Amino acid sequence: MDVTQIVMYGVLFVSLYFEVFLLITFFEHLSAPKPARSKRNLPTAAVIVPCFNEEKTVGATLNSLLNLRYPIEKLHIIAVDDGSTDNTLEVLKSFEHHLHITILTKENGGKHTALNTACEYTDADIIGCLDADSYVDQDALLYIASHFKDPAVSAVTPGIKVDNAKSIIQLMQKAEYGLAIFVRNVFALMDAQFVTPGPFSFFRREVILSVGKWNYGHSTEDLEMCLRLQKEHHKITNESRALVTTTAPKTFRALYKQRVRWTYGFLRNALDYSHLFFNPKYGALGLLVLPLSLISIFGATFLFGSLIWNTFVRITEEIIKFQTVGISTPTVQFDIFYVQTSTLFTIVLALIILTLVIIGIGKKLSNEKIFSFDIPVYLTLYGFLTPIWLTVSIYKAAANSGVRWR
Amino acid sequence: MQGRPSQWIKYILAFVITAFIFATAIIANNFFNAKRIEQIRSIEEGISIDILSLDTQFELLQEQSCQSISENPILSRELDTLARKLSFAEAQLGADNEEVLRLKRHYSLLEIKDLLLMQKVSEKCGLEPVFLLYFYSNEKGACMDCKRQGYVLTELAKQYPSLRIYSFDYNLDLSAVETLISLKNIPEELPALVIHDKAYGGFKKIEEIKELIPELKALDEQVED
Repeated sequence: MDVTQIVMYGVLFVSLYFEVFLLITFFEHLSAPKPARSKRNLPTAAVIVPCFNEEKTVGATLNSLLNLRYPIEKLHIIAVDDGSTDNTLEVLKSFEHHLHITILTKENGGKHTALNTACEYTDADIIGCLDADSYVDQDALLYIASHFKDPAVSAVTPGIKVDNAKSIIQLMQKAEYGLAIFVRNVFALMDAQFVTPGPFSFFRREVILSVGKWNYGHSTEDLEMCLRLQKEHHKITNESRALVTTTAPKTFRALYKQRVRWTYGFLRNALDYSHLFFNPKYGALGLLVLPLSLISIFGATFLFGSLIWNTFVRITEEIIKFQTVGISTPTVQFDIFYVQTSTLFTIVLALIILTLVIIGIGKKLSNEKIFSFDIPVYLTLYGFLTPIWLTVSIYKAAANSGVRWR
Repeated sequence: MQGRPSQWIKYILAFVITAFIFATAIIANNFFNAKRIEQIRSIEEGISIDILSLDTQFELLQEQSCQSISENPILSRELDTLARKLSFAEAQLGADNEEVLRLKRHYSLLEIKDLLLMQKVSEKCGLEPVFLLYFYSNEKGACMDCKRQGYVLTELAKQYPSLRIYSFDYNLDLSAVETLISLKNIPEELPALVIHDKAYGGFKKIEEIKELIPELKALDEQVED
């Protein structure tokens, strides 16, 4: 066995171990009761909607917030125009007549500055954010608020689905988000979430005041905030029934930019919070989730490099074959003798089956159809596309070059 | 805020399950490879019996059996199937695998036996079948053009099913192959071909081989007519 094979089997073992660990944790807590949705003793809630050039989507975002089943006197919506250059401010102003909506405008300074500005305008018990391209289910806030009845809970993350997936790239993300719903749910059970996503994560006000407001966080303020909370051992739960629909990037170019930013942010924040890694004081987060997330970035890049090399060798062979004998008709003959049974094949198959189980559970958690076209798209494309942005992110993070939002 | 407890039992359980999946994959692979080896061995035994039977039949009946023996497509096809299965097993288990090497030696012996029998039949029955002996090497850097030569011969075999191609690993540790190399004066430059008892070193294109085997050209012309 050469070095490449050892690394490959190592990466596969770690990936499989991770999936098995997540599934054990999920089934271990399967019968655990979830907080009941109740309109009694609800905390006051502020939802901040930071906007930068979101004229096309922010109206629907605000309407979805206005449709929330939550006592109106306890809900405060703060929309912040972060120096948009389009008609975002005009769209926001059309909502000014709603008494519980506050419209703010400021010079462009980035999402974290918009969140921090809005924080000055509220004294609500819980403060959350909703990206201006995301829409909430009517009961989402009721579900989230029910978790804050436990005084130990500092923050709650939602379940995020993809809105109206049309392009192949969006279909791929639809299945991926299904997987993420499961993963976030299980990470919460292990007390190991490391992102409080922009769409509809909520924080207890005094917690924000104690750990500090949002930072730039290498363009991933949601990840940095979560790591900061984890560092202080705050409890972050997840409510997969609190469904938020987000607009996923439609084209590969847009997705690539988003993912380079996410991965770059993870890698740079991993450096800033390196003391959390392999630290038993942080339980599964320090011993498993953070290290394996980091390994998976490098592992996937390595496997992709190996795949590219093997494909190159194969194509070269085919070219040589063509140059030597021209077009050769392959002889198709089924014989059970040739059925693939290699160790590598079986392990990859096991990995795919577990991934499918995880996506299926994620979809069930978000009340979506389990069997749909997005799954084969995900299985076919994701493995090939991901390493592209992972490789670029590793390079950018090593060079500390910074990333742009758009 | 307090640190959180680690659940070591869960870490160990996940490790055990993952190790079990890995072990199952390894055991299953070994099991299926053993079955493949068994199948190849059984094919080899079958061919061995067939060759011996034909040889004996020929000895007994002499010229009377010319018709039944001379064009023996079944045996030729079996040898071809065996070669492909052996090649697959080689890719699965590795070219250095002892079992693969043993089967390969047996296969080479069967090829030589078949070749000798066919030569004998041709001589006695006045036939002129075309034999092509191909010597290759799997050793790294020993034969840069063997892959290309393999493509050419596979294509030729497809075009001319009656052409009998016998492939031998030049470095196979088998005295019969070594004797064949020495008898046919196989050059060290690989790939090497033996056509009409003459050895040629180096890569040969389809057209070059057709030039060396005029019988193939004749077959082409027959098809065109």
